[in-house]
Amino acid sequence: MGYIDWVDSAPPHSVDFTRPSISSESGEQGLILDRIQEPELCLKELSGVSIDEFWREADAGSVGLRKDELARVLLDLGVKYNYGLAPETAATGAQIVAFWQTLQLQDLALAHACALGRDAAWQQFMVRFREPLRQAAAGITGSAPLGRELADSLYAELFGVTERGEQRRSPLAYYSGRGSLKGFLRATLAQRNVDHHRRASRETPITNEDLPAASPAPIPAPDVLSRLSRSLTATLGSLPPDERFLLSAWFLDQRTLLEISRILRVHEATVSRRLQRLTARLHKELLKNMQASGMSRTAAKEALGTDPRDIDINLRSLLQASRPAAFIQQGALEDPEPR
Amino acid sequence: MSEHLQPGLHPDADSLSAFIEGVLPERERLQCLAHLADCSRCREIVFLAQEPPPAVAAPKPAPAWRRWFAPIPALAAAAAVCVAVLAVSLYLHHTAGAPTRDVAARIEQSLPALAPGADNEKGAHVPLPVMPKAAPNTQQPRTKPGRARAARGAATEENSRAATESVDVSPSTSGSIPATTPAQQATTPTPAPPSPPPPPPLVAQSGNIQLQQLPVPPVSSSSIPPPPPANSPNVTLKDDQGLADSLSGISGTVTDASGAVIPGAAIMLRQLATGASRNARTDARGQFQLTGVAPGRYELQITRPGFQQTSRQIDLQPREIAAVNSKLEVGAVAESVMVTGEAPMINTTTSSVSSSIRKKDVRDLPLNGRSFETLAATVTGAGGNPLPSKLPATTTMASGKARVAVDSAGVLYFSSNEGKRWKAVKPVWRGKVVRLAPAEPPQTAIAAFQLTTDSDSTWLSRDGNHWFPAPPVH
Repeated sequence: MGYIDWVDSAPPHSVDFTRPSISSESGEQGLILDRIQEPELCLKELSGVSIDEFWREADAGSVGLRKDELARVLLDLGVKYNYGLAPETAATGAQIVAFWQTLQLQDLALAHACALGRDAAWQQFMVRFREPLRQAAAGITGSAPLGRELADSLYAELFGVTERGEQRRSPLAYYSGRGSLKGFLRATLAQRNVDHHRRASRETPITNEDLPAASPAPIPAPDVLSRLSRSLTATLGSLPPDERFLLSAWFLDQRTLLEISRILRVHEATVSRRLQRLTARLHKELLKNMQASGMSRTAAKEALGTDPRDIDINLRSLLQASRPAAFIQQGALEDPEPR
Repeated sequence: MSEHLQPGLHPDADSLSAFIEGVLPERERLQCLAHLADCSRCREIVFLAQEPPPAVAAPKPAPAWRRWFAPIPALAAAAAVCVAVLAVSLYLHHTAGAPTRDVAARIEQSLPALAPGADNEKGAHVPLPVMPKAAPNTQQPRTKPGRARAARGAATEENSRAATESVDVSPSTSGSIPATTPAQQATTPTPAPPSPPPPPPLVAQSGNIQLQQLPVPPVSSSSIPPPPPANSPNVTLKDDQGLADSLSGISGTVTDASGAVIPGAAIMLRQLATGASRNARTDARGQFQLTGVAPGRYELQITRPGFQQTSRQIDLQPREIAAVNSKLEVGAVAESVMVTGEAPMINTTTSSVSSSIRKKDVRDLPLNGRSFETLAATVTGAGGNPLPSKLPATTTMASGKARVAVDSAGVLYFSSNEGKRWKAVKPVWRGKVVRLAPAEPPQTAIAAFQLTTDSDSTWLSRDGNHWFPAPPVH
């Protein structure tokens, strides 16, 4: 994934990096950076701040990352995320500096130095992250041997064993520095683990799958079911993202209140209260939507069932059947293929 | 972005980790949430990639003002101890003036402990006899505070007036148990016995409570062997006060139509609730006694060859000795032989007993503190042998905190802490102790206890531990 080559004809140091970036479907990574000959100068022109300041703050010298390499990384990240601003918004110099200052510069320098294969960086990486990575892998897999295996495979991947052509490709090159490097490594581990299990689960024979039990309740008429489905789709589609996430995590994934609360960064009691209100509101809105589709209130109630918990079943079936929407994030880097 | 196993495009690890750490801009966060709501794969990644929750949060240091109040519990405890010590010293000082009047010798002279293992089937669930709630007991029943205070006050007054010189006698199987409690004295006003106290055997009657000292051995219990030392019930007791307070007895005389006593008549006392029975025979004077009987409803059968069998039902109240005088009619000669093929109901392989206490019994019994050990003491046959010899105490006497007891082997034991620990008294006499009693006049001025050995020598003691021969009576 790359970016359109609107910088082709312009001198490298005069590129308008404050322009919103546009993602490309077929380009290759590093197109912009490859064509910039003096990134330090570009950076200085953009922000008015010398690369030396960021270089010192990132302690990039200790990991063998040169100033121009750091400047390329910063410039690329700025373009990719539009300096943390909404799309189609031009960034000022202060906003550009503020964006770079919010990054985890030390982690960023370390990750990119590792991606470039610097020995000093790898030594530091192993000292800092070897044991946490192993522990995180053991926690994710729920087993120490499996965790060790997962961590070792990720090490190889991080080291850039997989190469495209002559270029080393390490997942560390996709680290943006917005979160911590440790969190990035944990997420990568979880990603690899989930993908591995999902791939393996395809090989599960169908006889071992738990088939849903037949509902003891009488099956409603097809027109009632279609109305119910439409009503559910409309009701769920109108929910904000956080409420849909709440419903999915609670009802489909059977996550605990604590787990959900840590993701949403609210208290467990808040999650519980939100769930209660949301379920009640959904019930009302479903009734309203079904009545709007021409059903009487009694028929709508019968279709839903008097027990509001029936909504859980409907939600489950509806959400399980839905295809996840594409994650349209401007400038998001391509995720490497799962191993 | 790439296409993964689940169709669609997904946020990369960098975006997910930033989402987890909450550093995404709001716009991207909502995008991520919207995707997570629909994508189970990414939800799983997000939940897996979370840092594990911290184990235990460190306790917050207490505020400075709380530290000032920290020593208050310790000070309160110290103050309570001081008050208790002061109260005890005042009490001792108050009572030290009349040492001779302090001898509240309470005698519990009892039969040897029952051999319930011979009567009861092992492991049989013997329902606990439900005692009336009004039964006097050393354990205070649940009463209203006002009533309890009134009862305690009356009891204290009664004790101060008469109890120091009275001798309470109660049947017991195994313990140093006063026959009456202060609460009972308060509820059943007993006229103070004249001073000096009457020598044993004593008989005091008050209402339906008949108290009497039983001789040693009290009955010719032919069918009840004395318990062997190994006969320890599987319920171990530390305090048998509740048991002794609730046990009852039956005594009586069996005569014929002309009023002549009938010796050798077989007495069978059967508890209707459990079927447990005890046997005895009338002595040469036609008298019998059964003591240490748990309260309840019983059937008393008296048989004697040549006489008609008589049977009657008796409702035994706690701590009551029922007097039953029966008259047997001359019957016709009849013989019958009954052969049964049933398994014996009595476990003859072991003498241990066990029983189960029902919830209702626990609820109904007026136990102090609801101690399960006290509850266990109410089970028929369950009794502790606190003496080092493990033999049942035939007689126990008390003076202040001192306890003196004689076991069934005639060995004297002394306890200085109300029977919690016993030690054998080194005998300065020869033979066995056959009788332990309060000192009789005129020795009451110099001694509190008196014992008689099998060689018919009498010894006195003031404290129960040091004994000296009784001076000759002129």
